[in-house]
Amino acid sequence: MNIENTQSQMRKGILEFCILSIIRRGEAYPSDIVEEMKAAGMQILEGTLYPLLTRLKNAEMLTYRWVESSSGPPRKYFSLTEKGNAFYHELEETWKELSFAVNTLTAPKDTQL
Amino acid sequence: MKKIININLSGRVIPIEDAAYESLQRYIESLRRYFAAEEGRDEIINDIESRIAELMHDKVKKGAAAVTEADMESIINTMGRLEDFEEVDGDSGTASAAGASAGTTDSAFTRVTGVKPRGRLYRDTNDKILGGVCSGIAHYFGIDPAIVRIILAILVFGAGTGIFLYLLLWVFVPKRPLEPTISKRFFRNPEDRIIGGVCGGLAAYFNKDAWTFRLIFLAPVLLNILLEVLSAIFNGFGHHFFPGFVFGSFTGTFFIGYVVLWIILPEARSNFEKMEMRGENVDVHKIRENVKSEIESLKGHTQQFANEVKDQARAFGRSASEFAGTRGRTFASEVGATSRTVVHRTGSVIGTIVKAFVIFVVGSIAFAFFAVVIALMFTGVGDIANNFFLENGLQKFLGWAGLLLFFGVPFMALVTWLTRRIMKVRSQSHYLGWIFGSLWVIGILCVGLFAGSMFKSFRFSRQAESNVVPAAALNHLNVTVSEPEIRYSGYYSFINMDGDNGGWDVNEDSMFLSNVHLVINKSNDDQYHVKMTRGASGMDARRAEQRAGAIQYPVFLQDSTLNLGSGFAISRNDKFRNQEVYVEIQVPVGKSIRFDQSINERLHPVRFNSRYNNRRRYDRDFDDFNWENEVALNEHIQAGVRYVMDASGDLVDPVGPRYNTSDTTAIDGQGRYEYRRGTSDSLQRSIDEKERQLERERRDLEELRNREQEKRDQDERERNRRPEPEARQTYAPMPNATESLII
Repeated sequence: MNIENTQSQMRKGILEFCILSIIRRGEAYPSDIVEEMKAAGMQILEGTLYPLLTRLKNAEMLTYRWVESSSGPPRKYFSLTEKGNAFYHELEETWKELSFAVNTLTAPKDTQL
Repeated sequence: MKKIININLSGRVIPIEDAAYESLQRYIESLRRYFAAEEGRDEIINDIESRIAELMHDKVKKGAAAVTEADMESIINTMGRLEDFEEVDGDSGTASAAGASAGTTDSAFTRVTGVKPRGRLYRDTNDKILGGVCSGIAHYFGIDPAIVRIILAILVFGAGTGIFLYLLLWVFVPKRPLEPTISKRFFRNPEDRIIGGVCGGLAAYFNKDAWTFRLIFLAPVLLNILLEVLSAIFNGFGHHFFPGFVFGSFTGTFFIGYVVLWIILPEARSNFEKMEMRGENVDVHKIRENVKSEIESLKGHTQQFANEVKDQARAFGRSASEFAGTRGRTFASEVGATSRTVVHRTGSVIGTIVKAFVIFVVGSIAFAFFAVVIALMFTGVGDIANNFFLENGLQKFLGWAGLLLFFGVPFMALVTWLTRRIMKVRSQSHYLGWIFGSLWVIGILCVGLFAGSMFKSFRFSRQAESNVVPAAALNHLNVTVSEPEIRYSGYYSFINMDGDNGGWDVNEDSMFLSNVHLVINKSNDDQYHVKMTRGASGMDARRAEQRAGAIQYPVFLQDSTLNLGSGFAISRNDKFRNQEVYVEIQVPVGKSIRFDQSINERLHPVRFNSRYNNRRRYDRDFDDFNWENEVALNEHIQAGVRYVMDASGDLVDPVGPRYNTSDTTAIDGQGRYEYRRGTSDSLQRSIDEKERQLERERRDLEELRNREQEKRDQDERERNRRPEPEARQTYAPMPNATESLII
């Protein structure tokens, strides 16, 4: 078993959820998202982010608009759609279940129920 | 010193070092390949490029002159190298249960068992010409798909088994976008192409010169031609050095092989593919193989994450029906899609082949014509044409210009096009086409005008008549030709001396013809008359007359021998304008005429009509000249026989049998020479003779009666006018008039 693979697998599973959370807080453009995630301790490469964002947009979870920028060409600012919001909520549910389960399973014996 | 170029990336203009630019290109290219199967690939790439442009702009803003290679490195690191893109192990076995994720369809087997082993046989959707079967197989074995395709082609051509096998695999083998497993592949090289770039691609692969391969493909054709030429030189035409089919079949095979390769091998369009073609090592490429399959899983996960619990339970139950449904549907849709591309591609291949063939045919024709023109200009034929046919400057100009332009221009145009194609020179101007086209149209015009002018030159025909008066009354006439026969002197080398060259000659100044016709008619009195009529054509009446008069044909009467010349000369000033000579000999009834054998030998009436048409109506545009019959001496009159002219205008051989078979209808026998149909016998002749007699006598009788009637009327009137004796006088001349009517 390749540990990196598993680690990557774990990260990959949660990636979408994280991104959607960030965007849910307010519209953001990709650089920003990368920055935020880095700040939160979750490293993500732009090369990973862009395709993900595009896929979400194609699945109508996200929408974007062009914003003129002073220092160059316009940028895409992403925001959640209705569908994306619903999606997010479902994911949130799942995450809550998961984290509860994992926490329970990994807790020292005496705290287990 | 470093080379710096400016690039425009997502709307920003950025100065960048050449080396850094290359790194950037490679990176972007690798991204393209990476996301090749993604739905929003272009969008993703655009976003990434935009981001890179931002980062580059930042670096330059800080004061650097241009983006350096080091800068590029760090930017790429920021964006992420492909190998760092999130890796997922495809072995973990999470199957895509929904089965509708973009671009991936897993087989039922995988869905059921949840196992997706690596190295499984798939159809490669990334690299497919029809259904991706061959590239899937190639991926499985780790070889170049082109090789598999070649094998398939051989199977297909060889036994047809390939087709069935292929279809089977197409239906049953699942498809995935697969990564290329080899780093050096056969491509077609668009930068080094003459027709399809097949040889160029092979050359790039083997690192040799493209012309080596072209020669290989052309070898059978060239050898064939070479051997044919050799055999023609040594053995004369008609022998073959080697049986043609040996090399002929090789030619065909090589040709088909080329076409097959053309269809099979993809064109190396992107830089990346070009690098692959040459086998340059690209690391991203190998890495991608690991990464790419993970993207599938990511996609699968996206859906599956939401539905997994629900669907897993149902998966097994659905798998059987889904297999049928999806498989069939995907096959049908794929066939539709690929058939369009296949048709398009084979269409373009076929189109090019057809074009090449048409051009070859047309080129051969044009070349043949041009060869004709050259031949005309440089052998003697042109001289003859100039001297004897083309009258004035205008005709000469029109004729030659028309010929040259009409035949030469297509030839030049084709040569130019071929040269361009081979040398791969782009057309510099579009005017060339117009120039050629208009020259050709001018050529057509010239040819048309020339034809018109030639017709006009022959429009008028005039004759000049002259009489040869016999010195004394003769009883018999001998017709002979004492001059030697006109024969070709061999002035022009291209005219074959071996054939029958009697009766005409041509050299630089004059043309000699023996186009002389003899006409025998009955004389109206008891003298022989010889009338010579010379005819010629011309642009107007005057010229025609002049030409006719210029014909010199000797006719001498010595005692009782009529000596005809063996021919007449046409000078180059007069030109050939249908010059003819008719000699009419009028023989009094009861007198005889004899034709010498020399006439047969030396006079050759040139016939332009069909051989068996003995009669020619000669009545174009002239006044009252009407030859209806001719004596064709060699067919109807025998030499050496002493013929007697009889009352009906026929020549009769009193001694031998009457002249025999001739093939035309009879005309009334009033001094004209007759031809009769079929075999005649004397009985038939005498019957006809008697009939004519009868007719004549009947007519005479009629006339007599009329005269009688008139006479009676006169007497009647005389009696009535008795009181006027003067009137009677006026009627006196009548009886004389009556007498003279009696023949």
